[in-house]
Amino acid sequence: MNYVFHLLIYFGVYAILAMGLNLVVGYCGLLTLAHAGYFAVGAYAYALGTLAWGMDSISALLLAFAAGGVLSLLTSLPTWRLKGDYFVMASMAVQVLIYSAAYNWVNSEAPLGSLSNLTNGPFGIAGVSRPVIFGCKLTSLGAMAAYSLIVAAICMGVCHLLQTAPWGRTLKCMRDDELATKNLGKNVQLLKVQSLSVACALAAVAGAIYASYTSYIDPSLASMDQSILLLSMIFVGGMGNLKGPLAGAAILLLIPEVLRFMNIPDAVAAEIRVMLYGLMLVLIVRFKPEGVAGDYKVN
Amino acid sequence: MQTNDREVVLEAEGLAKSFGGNAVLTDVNFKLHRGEVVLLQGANGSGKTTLLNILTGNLKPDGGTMRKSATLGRTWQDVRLFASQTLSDNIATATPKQPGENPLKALFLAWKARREERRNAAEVADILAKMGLADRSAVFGSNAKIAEAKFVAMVRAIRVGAKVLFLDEPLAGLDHAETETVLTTLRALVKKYGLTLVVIEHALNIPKILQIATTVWTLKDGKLSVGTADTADEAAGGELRTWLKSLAAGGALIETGLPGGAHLTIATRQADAQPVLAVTNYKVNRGARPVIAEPISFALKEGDIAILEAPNGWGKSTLLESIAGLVPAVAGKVELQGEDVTALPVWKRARKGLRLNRAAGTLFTQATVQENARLNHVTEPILPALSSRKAGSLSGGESRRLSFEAVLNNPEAKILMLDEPFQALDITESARVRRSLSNSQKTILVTVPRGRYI
Repeated sequence: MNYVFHLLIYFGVYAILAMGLNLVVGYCGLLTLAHAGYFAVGAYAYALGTLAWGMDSISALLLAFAAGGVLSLLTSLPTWRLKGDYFVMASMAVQVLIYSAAYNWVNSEAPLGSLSNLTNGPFGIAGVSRPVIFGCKLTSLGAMAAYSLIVAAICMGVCHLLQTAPWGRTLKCMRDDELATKNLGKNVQLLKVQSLSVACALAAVAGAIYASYTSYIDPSLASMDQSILLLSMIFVGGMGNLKGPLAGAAILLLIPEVLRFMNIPDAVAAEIRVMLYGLMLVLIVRFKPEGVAGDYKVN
Repeated sequence: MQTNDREVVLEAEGLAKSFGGNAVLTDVNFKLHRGEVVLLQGANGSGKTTLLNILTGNLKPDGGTMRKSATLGRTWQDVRLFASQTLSDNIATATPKQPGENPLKALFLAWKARREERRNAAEVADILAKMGLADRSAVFGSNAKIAEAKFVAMVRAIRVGAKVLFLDEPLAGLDHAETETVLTTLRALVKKYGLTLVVIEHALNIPKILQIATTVWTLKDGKLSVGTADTADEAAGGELRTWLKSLAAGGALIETGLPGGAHLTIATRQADAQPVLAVTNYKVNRGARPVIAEPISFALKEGDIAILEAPNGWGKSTLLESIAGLVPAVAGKVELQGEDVTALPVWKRARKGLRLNRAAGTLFTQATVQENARLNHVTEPILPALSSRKAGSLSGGESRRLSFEAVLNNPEAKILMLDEPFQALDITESARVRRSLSNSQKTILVTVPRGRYI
């Protein structure tokens, strides 16, 4: 049963990440490689909040949310001038910046959370505690799974309200034709800032849940591999609606688990998993460019 | 003039714009009055679209001033509907100040946002019903017929609250009946709703616009002159037929009726020529949607010039794309010089000399004019004054000319299929295209909308 709970926790985390990324890629048409960076921002904010700055779990979660939202400006401001490949490059730069900060913002003589040792560098941060909600510490995996799924459900509700409102429709219009959208009097710069801040804040919330579950975080959370995995989720599952990201998160989460039951050695399974991800992407782009359950056809 | 007593809604003084040292607008001055219907005319490349872009805030002028006292809206030559949105949503999006456009209100005042959205949707449904498009409201922008798209684009601009509407070629690509409907709508917009219109049209549609125009603006040498309807350049109708007849050996044209109200007219220039393109019992779908549902057949001999005239939505472009190999045939076959090429991919058909020139998107926009010519193996200069300009920076008319000249002079192209080559051309350009086609010895199939030329 613990195994199922473990999967559900991870599903909650990846579902939140994929739903947020869908807002940027599927609704705005902006291909970002920085999303894992905001996942890491949330994880670090939560870890530092609870371990170094004496915050309770809820406050630390809100801190992560706010940090993701504010730092999203690093990605959204370049969209005012950059499009297409150039925006992808800018988002990659943001990802490298966050990864570098996580890796290098360390001073072994300074206490964790101080200005000279914010991330503890390559050593990461261990001992992140499980969340305490209304005085109840979520020590069991079942409680943690419920927490992860409840937060994912709240995020899903937020995404649903936004995507089905005129705001979501205007984002899609901007994706289809930015110039025509501007000529209807819509502030496309503000729309980009809004969508990226929501997406990055959601990624940070996912990071906070992840940190509280694994109790250990390091700079690899912000790696390019993570960003590509998240993009794979929405490409495979589909974009432009709510079902697609959820389907993608489930599919890419379950692939390595299937290999686990095939008695393949871990080292080999890791390689096969990457190959399967690649194969799935190729097949999806070739035969079902809108993904398994998406509305937006990638071209 | 009566309109001059009315309120000035837009005024410009000394507007100027250059691109890479090439002065397009040098000194543009005008006053636009409420209720005026202006025809904006000028030769291809004279700066009509540039002026429109400046007036609607899409381009910054190098100099000059503008004053406006009304909201401006515009439509585009290439329509620009939101492809992934339904016709209904294309209009609904334009509604200003929707509470649900603010994400905080969408989240925390969701009930209010949804109530306003329901009201907006009901108003849009009413508009579509009045336009006779109630049953098309769920059609996506990408699947809309050209006339529907143009109507929705106009309504979308008005929905924003525009009192001055700039219309870039509102009649282009429309057949006779659709043109009349658009003109009736434009009249109603001016009379019932007091809108002011500035319309750009190419020469062949100018007589139609003059039915409603009160003023004519003519752009020439970077300056704008204001005149009356008498000063407009009008093109004579029926000239294509006369031209085609003059090409035919013995003056006789071969005329064939095709299903769906289409008409194929062939001028055979060489009496003893061999067939080079034969299309037999041909049917085409676009995705799952049948486009050419009833089988059609025709054959062209070497040196023939043929005009396929058909109503919009008939499938002229799809047919040409299918013959070129871009869209697979459902039934029938295509033969080139007697060889069945139905199963061949597009590049193999191109190597056999079959070339398609689409109405848009045929240029490499990041390459220069000269590079585009060379990619078509054309060594003679095309648009020599613009040879170092990127193709993407050319005006609509210049792009059409480059695209047309490149494919016409491509030594590897033996059979040309030209999709609406006369669209967006002024009188001079239209005559030049006819001359170029006359001088070419290639086999040429041209499409035109029904009722416009023949």
